[in-house]
Amino acid sequence: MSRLITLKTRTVASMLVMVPLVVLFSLTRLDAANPPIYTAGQSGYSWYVASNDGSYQPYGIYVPTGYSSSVPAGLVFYSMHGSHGHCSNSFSSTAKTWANANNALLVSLEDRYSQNFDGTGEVELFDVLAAVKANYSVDSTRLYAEGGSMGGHPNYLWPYRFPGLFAANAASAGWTSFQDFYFKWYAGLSEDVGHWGNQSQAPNLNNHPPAPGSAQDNAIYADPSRLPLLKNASAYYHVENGQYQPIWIGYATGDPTNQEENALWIIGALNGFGYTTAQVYSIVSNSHNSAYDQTRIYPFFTGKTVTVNPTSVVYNTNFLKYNSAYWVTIDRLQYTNQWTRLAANISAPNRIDVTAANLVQYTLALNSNLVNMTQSVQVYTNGALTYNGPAASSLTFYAAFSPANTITGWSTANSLPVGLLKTHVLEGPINHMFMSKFVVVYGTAGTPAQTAQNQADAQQFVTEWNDYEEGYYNRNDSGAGSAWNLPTQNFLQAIPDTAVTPAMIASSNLRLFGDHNTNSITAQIKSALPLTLLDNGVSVGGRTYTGNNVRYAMIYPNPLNPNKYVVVGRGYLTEYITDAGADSNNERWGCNLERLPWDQPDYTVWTYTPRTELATDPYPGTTAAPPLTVQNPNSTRFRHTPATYLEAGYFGQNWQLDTTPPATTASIQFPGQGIQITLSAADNLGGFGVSGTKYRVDGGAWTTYTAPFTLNSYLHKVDYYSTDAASRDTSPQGVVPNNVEAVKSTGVSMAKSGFVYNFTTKRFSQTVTLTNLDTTNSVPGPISLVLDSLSGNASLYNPSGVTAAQLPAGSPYANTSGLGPGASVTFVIQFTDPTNTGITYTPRVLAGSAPR
Amino acid sequence: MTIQHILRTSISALALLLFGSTTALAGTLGLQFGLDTNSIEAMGTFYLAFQLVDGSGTGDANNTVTLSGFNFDGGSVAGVPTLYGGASGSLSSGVTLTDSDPFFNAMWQDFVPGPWVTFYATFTNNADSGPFQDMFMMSILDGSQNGIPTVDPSGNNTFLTVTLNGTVQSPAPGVLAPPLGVWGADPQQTSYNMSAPEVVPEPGSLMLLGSALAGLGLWRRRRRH
Repeated sequence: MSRLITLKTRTVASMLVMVPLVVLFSLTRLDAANPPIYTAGQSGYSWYVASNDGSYQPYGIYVPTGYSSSVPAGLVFYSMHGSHGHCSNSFSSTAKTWANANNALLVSLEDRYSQNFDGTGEVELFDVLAAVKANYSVDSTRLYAEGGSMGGHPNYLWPYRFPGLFAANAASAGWTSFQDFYFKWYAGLSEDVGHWGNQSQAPNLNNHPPAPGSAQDNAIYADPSRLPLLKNASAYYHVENGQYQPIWIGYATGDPTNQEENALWIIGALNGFGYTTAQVYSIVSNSHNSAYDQTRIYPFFTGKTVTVNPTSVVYNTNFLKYNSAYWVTIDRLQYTNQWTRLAANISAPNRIDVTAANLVQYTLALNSNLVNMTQSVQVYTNGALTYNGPAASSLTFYAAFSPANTITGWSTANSLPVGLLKTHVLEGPINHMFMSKFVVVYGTAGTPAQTAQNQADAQQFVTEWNDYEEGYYNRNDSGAGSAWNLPTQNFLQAIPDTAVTPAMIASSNLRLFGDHNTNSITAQIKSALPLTLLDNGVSVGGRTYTGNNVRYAMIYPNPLNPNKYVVVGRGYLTEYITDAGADSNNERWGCNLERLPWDQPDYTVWTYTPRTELATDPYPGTTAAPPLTVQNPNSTRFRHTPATYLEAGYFGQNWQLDTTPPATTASIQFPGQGIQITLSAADNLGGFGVSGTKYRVDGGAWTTYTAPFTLNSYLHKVDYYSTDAASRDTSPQGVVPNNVEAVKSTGVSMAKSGFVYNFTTKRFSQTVTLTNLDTTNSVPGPISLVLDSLSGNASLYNPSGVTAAQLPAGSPYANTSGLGPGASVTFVIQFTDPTNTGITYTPRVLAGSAPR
Repeated sequence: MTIQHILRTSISALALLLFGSTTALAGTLGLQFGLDTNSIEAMGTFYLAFQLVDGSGTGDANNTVTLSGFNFDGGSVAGVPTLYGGASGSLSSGVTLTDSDPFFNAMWQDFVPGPWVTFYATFTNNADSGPFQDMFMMSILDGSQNGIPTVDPSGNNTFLTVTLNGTVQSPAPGVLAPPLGVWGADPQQTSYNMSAPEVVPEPGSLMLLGSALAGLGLWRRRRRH
């Protein structure tokens, strides 16, 4: 009961409010070890212990009148609420009547605290489900969920994030993709361009959002450090996963909060996939969530059960944390955070056709309902036979790679690189450490002042967490929390590094406050971290940020226990954010960025001072404009965007900074009279995939490559390079571009004779004349006549070389001198052809000093 | 002394005799060639090799060379012909070469040399598109089918190269008549441009032909004695 002591940390005013409440409910005080369990026909609050922070959290429940523990009951997550809502012990007669008729429990979630039922809110879903299952008999094939506004959002997302979990969902007025909701309520003003118009003004809720993937959408800036998370949190990008997920969709055409587009995007996507899973109810109204109608929702649920063992499944994701559907699991991505698709279809008895995109490892969990387990199965991956062997409950397949990082095939043999890798369990981002058990630790190894600062930072975090996460359960509020005399307030405490035990390290993630000079645990693991900790800052892949006000946080598998996370931080992100005041319920929201699922990637470096005050400017020679891939540096309003991000990003699949750029290659064709340049790029395994390729011609402006291009003048030098999604740079600074020099066939004409056979040398000779058609400019030498696709029976006699840098490689070439304006050069090339059957080749002309 | 050595040392003795022209067929040009093979007589089997190179490299089949009336002056034809592309026939029946193959139109066949080889040749003379023209070439191969080196300035080791470019070539100073006839005394000159087929021989040309034949006969008689 020592936790009750923490009550005294509340303000005196709070205590004054609390006292009469304790007296009022003292007659119904409940034991912390025994949450209330209700019987048939009863409703009320109950509680559970949260799996991440160990706090006591409430939920409401109604038990149907005919409930019997011997007959598993369905379960409806009832009327999931909007922002600032709470769980309830009151249930509508419509819902109760339906629950009684269909033997279903009604459960009301708290949504700790308005996190869109994501992040900690998602932890709550499974915690409550486990708590209810522990105390009631639940039919897992009849799980349902319904809600509106913020409660509508998860009912769009969950069926597609967790296919096979729910029998049906009902979503009203929820947001479905970040293009609307994020920009209205969360984005920094720098990200609002093109959406709200005047950035200096409050958002106009009536502005319609751009459709995902539209040109307008692409024109909106969303920081790359958040974009993968925003898309993962958006149901729209997962819709294909829901082929067996019935969904009731309600929306008002004039909804100003979450506009009708949110529903229309999902409906359109479902139609696009040919799914007939949706029942849509729309009304003409300007009132938010006015389409929410239980009289329509509950009949929609009637009779629906979870689809089990479907013979055709598909799953899309961009994070391994969400990676499975029914009997398929994505184990490893090819490119980190890129969209990945795994589809499997039992196309014939014991034949499974798999389509795999952006993944290098997957597992099939087979059972006798899917295949004949006594016979062999054939698995085809992307059209190629991958496996023909015994059926098994778990079959894992791995991709094989070429040296050029392209997948060459699949098998059950694992030749992939091994080591510390991102996994379904440990993947980041920072938020994920708060979705399982964690301990907050402040460093005491520095000076007293440094220890005080670490403790203050940790306490700031803890205070915000407790204010934020306790929510309605706070004794200062009325409601569920005041029903029991449980240790609910200020549950989370920060402990000094000296108090960390091996048991804590073994069981918990660690949130460390203090750098290696001030936190003894940070000091122990410093050398294993992917960022380099400095005495007064941090270095990110050679980009150094130092200064008294430089702060950072990063997530990484704890080197002291790689099965758990550690978040190492110097300072706390919200410590200097002023717009973090408590609301009327003394609840702080709008802060605690680390716990919003989409706010922080794997690492973040920031400062609250202007960049010009940094001791070391990481971008010397530039202005104080925002550093690359950071948020708005000049925001005067806090909108979940720190004003002074310096850098933020993700670690690669191997938990290290990805410093390997994509390899770019160029190929040259001579279709007709033009010279066509085709560029292609591939990233390293576990990198972030190719985000773009740029090129320039003759030192001109860099141009984004979108398709093969044709050059129109006689001679060009083409520079090109590619970046991946982890690249901070949008210019080739520091990059040595590849280049190719090529001559256009119309600029240098070529004539060639037939073949003369020399009976003495046994060689065929051919005369070639090259003419520079440009009468003003020269073609620099050497000029190489490259013989691509030379017939196999023939060889170029005494070639000048064989191509290697200029693809296609392996082609012999003959050099001749450069050409002045309008000049010609005639030379003879000789071949051997012991068969005398013919010599053919495709000529290619290169000029200049670039390596061939 | 090997045959190869003999051939090398006696190369200057091998001589080509190009006799005068005739216009028996409209659009074609007929020539009689004579080759002094005295230096390789009684040295075994050799090969006569002919090729018609398509200048355009496309196999446009716009020219044909017909070879007939092979006379080995006591020597003889041996073996069977080797044929490629647009080549047909034999030294016995006559040879036809058409530049119908973009790669290789050629034939060769072995023979036992006597003092002379003479034959008739008729050419069409149509120009190819582009800078490169069809070429008729003749080579002599030893018994191992290795070409006998010549001083052919093109480096192709031919005894005769005729370019069919459709143009009229004026006779060079000191040359008897077009199309040019060259005696073996001038082995450096083995490449000729043919006259256009519309050239009508003048009486003087026929006289020259007759003089050449007479000269040839006289020369042969002196050699044998």
